[in-house]
Amino acid sequence: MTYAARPPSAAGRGNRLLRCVLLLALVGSGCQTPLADLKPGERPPPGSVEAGLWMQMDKVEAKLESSGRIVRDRELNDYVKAILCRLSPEYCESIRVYLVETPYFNATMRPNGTMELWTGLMLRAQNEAQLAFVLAHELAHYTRRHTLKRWQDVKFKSNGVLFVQVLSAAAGVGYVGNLAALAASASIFAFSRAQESEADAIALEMIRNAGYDTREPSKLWTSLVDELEYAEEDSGTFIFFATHPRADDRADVLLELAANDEPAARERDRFLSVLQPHRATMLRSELRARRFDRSEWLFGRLLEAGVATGEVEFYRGELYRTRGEEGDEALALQAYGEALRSEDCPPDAYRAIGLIYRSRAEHGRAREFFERYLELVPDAVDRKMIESYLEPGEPSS
Amino acid sequence: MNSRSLAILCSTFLLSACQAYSLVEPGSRNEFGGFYSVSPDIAWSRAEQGELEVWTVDGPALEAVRFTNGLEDGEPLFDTPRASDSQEPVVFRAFMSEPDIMTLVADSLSRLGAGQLETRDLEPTRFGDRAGFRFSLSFLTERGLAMQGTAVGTIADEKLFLILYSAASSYYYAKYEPHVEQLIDSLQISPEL
Repeated sequence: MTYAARPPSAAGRGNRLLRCVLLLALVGSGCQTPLADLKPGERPPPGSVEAGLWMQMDKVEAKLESSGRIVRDRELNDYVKAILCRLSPEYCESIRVYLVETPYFNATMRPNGTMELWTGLMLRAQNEAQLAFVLAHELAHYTRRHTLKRWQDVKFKSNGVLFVQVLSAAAGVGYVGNLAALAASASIFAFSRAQESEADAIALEMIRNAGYDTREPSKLWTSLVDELEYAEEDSGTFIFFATHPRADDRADVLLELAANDEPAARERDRFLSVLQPHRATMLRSELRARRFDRSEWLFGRLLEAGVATGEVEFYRGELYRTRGEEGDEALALQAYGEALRSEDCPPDAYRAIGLIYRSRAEHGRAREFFERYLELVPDAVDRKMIESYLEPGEPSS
Repeated sequence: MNSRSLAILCSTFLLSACQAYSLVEPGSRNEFGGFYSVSPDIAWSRAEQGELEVWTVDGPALEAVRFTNGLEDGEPLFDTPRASDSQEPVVFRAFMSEPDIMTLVADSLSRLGAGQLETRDLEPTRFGDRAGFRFSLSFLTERGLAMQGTAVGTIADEKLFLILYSAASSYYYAKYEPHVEQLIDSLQISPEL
């Protein structure tokens, strides 16, 4: 019996079908019309899929605009917008940046020009060059129409899978359809990762042209990897189903792309100075996330970098006092003590130390710190409560 | 399955998804955690929300009084979503002082999406016949609605007993504030404690 004479097995039929499908997919993928970059001020034609996407995103933006989590400080908003305009004078008027008070490391771009920048990312950026890279990366998603392309990619691949599933079911080899679905899913995620890599490369070029130091973006990702490792947190989903490349891979690629560049502007002092009035709120927000290991790492890194030492030490003390594990009280006292040695120490550190001594029934020492706190903050929000700790009959009196 | 039984099944399913409210009669005495009780001067609607009991008239998005039944060490005030495995819930700790409770409430609300949180006027007060504390707060909801609030509580036997009133700043807070103050005035510690 020759091979050709054998009746085709299910696997054989499947293999041929798979080859046909792959061929069709290859041909089909060439049928997608390449999309040109969005021009400055360009809006999609009415009735188009892209216009529909924009309309949906306009609704999301309307909700975002009224959200209680938007940071509305004019100076900070103007500062971020100015960076965006330095990166791309032609596109900056098309983008609305919303600063969102949330302690996580993220920024997002929607196809209609709505950019979200989360305060957790701002707190983690070490200088303006790093922040500029993030803005440029999000801007690249906008100019390259990544959302629309992803939508088209998903639609095309889903249609292909449906076609294969019907055919394979009819041929009695339904598993081929399931395999095709799996392959399409992986391909959709891979497409998303490719977009992220493309946005990284474009962003690096943009910050280079704007005069920023191109070696800084890599450091941002390296820091994130270090933070995740410290917290023993995985740096991403299983790569097969990840929408973004791994942070460590991004750091490596960015470093390579910047290998031949000379040092340029980092604008660290300006960045730290603009953030200074907002840092306490960001640090408080960071604590609210109750990711103690990640926050501990972050506070340590800020201290190493000499950023707002008294303020950061105070919040490090708050972290330990809030976590309340064995030994944390001593660590809190140590951090508060360091805070008191700095000029920018928040007066709340005195209250915090007083509270620890009060809980230890060291009332004389508690009184000393409570009195200093009330002296420094005459209009303290908890003045009457703290005063009550000092009244006759109270142990601290 | 015929269409009638399908409709009944769907209705039952939809109803079970709704929060079950029951009437709180004016003048009735209502106990929480076997520790304290209050008596309202108006009718409220009552529902369970995790470990809390919620009273409202116009709906909890507009105004709500939340009563804890005695939070124990390690228990959260609200059931809040976790963003990642490394994120821990915002919980009450038995070692917390009154300023820490004020922070706990703000942090808990923040995890529910509240922004621009401000707490103020923390002061000693009576919680029934026991020493307690009271403070005010204001915040914006995730959708941007301005809210105001008042909290009254005490820590007894390492448990937190708290009454938290929050309402939309415009109209609703002022409308129900006298009735909430009346609730607080009516507070009695249960006799066996």
